[in-house]
Amino acid sequence: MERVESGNWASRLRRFVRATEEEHCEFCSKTIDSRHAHLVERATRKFFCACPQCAFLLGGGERFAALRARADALHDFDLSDDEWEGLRIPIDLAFVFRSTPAQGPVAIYPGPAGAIESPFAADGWSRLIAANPMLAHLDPDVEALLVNRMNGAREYYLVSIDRCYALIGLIRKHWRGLSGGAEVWEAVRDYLTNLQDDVETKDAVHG
Amino acid sequence: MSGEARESETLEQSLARLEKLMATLESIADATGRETARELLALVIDLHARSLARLSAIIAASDDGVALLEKIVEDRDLRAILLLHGLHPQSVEDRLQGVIARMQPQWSARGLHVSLMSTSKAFAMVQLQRNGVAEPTDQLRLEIENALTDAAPDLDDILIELDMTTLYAETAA
Repeated sequence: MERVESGNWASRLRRFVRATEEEHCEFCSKTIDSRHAHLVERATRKFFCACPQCAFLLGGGERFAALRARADALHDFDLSDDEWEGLRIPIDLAFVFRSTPAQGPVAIYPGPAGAIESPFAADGWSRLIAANPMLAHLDPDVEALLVNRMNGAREYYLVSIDRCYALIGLIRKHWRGLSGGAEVWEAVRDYLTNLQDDVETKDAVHG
Repeated sequence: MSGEARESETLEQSLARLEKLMATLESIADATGRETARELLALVIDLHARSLARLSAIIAASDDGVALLEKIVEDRDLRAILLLHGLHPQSVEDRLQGVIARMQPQWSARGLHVSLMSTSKAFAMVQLQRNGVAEPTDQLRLEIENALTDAAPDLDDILIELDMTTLYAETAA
């Protein structure tokens, strides 16, 4: 008779199918729902899964910020081509967000090393906020302005920082050579299409 | 080959294939595909668990229900499925005691004595006494473990503890 490798098959099958459901709060170890809150450690930018209680207690504190999934299109964004040139970002795709550890605005954009991060000129940021007051409410460390001016586009979004890191990861994965290669730009296009779909779906839901 | 042997072979082979498929699925890099397959499997298992729980309740509540359930768990395939869903009419302890009682004459003849120390939801602890049995301990453990896990595949683990007093006696001798 052929023997099953380990006789506790029923126990293992049960644990196997439960593997997805068993997620735990990284602060108190309580079992949490598959749709749970995330906290971002401001200094390290690490993400942590949290139960509602820990997310409430720690989110918005000095060390952690609560992440709220967000993707909103900014329709009447005011930024002229000259002003954009003046911000000295070498590429037409960038994230800008307020960073607590950097004590000011930071820009992240694609580059040969994956993604380049640089301090964003404080006066440039002030002018941007003056022209676009909604930027004043950006939650530090967890919300970003996404600028897409590639191939003549003039698109602006308010997105949660996870989308920013997703794009960085994507660029790191697909960038080839000095200019990135066709693959990376195709991946970026897919990313932007997805973002637009999410914005539209949300707009449809909220009427 | 008798019909019964063919039937038992099918269950063993299915379980072996189940193990392989679980390992394959676990190694799939595509997280979405992997988790979807896992969720699908969980859902199908839950659907069956719900219905089988009701079916068992109806049988248990009917005339001669207890006798009927006993007859049902004599079938290896049905027993396996009831064990998977936690619906076996006997407790883990009763099942393990049953195996030990059935095997004890055979084990005693070889100088082995097996006793159940404790059972919990996930583990069972068994003590093995060997009175001058020369067979390697690992092999004995495996044999006993195999006999017991067949009756309780729903446990995470069965721990087999050697009675140290006999071991000391052997070393001293």
